[in-house]
Amino acid sequence: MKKVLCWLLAFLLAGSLALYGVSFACARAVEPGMKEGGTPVSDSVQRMEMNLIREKIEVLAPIYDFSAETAMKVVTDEKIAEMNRQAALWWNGILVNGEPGEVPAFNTEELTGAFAADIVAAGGSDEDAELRAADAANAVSESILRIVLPLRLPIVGRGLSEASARVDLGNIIRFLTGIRWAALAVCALLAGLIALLESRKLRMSLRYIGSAMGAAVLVIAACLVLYALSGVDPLIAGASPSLAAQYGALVNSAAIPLFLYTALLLAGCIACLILYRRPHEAKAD
Amino acid sequence: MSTENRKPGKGIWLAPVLLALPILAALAFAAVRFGPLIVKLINAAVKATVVV
Repeated sequence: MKKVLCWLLAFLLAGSLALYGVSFACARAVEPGMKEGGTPVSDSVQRMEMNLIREKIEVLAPIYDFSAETAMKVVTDEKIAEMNRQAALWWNGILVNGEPGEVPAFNTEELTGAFAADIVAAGGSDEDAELRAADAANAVSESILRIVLPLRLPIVGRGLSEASARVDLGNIIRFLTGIRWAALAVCALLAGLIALLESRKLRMSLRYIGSAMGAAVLVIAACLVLYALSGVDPLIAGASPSLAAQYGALVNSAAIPLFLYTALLLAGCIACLILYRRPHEAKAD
Repeated sequence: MSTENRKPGKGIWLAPVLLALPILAALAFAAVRFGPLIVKLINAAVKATVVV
């Protein structure tokens, strides 16, 4: 009877350890965005954004009749970093309050001035230059926003405001990120119960705890395989390369701690099962 | 000789696999039953909200 109960507790422990791993990884991805200022964008993502912006400007240049070099002199790394900071605040608003923050905007004044000067230098009239330059600057500014925050902002904003009217989104997100602490407490409780049930021979509890750790490793591995098979990454990459880069950075920030945790569980499983077998091996020698 | 004092065989390494089997079976069932629907929903959400 005790053995059956111990295996049942070990089964529950395996589930709780796996739940802790998955919720820990999700929280690691989301929590930086909930801090003041949001998640800072990595250098590699910003470099990719700059390349996409350059490509877009080269496409727009012949359409709006401006020089791509002039535009790239105005669209500097610092300005894109500032746009990324604004985008991080936009996400921060959703994660903390359930309502998006202020929509990022690229200041078009400098671009308009630079384009107008180019048009006048090419022989255009002042009035015509100003209109054409403003059009071109707006097109460039919109493209930059679409690369930094590649979402249909009115649709997302409307959806979030409708959802916020019905539920407290910020509270739900805080609750979901807190699940890992509940899972950890349940893990400690179950491991303690197993040790208590096997208190006369503590070594026996290593069999159950070690097996639960090994089972949790298998469950986490299965979850990762299912995620890989779901095809979410290629789906996002197909929709928007800049969103794919931002999402990839987010997944990486969650994947590294998850792999470390899984390795720790595997090491724990091997150590527990070896320690459980050792006294018998010593007796056999 | 009681069960607990018997020398554990190499079968102990199978215990994690046996313990994980019910959860893996539930995951496989959920993936087969609801996986395509979830992927379709994600696909629709991405198409509706992402600027191409």
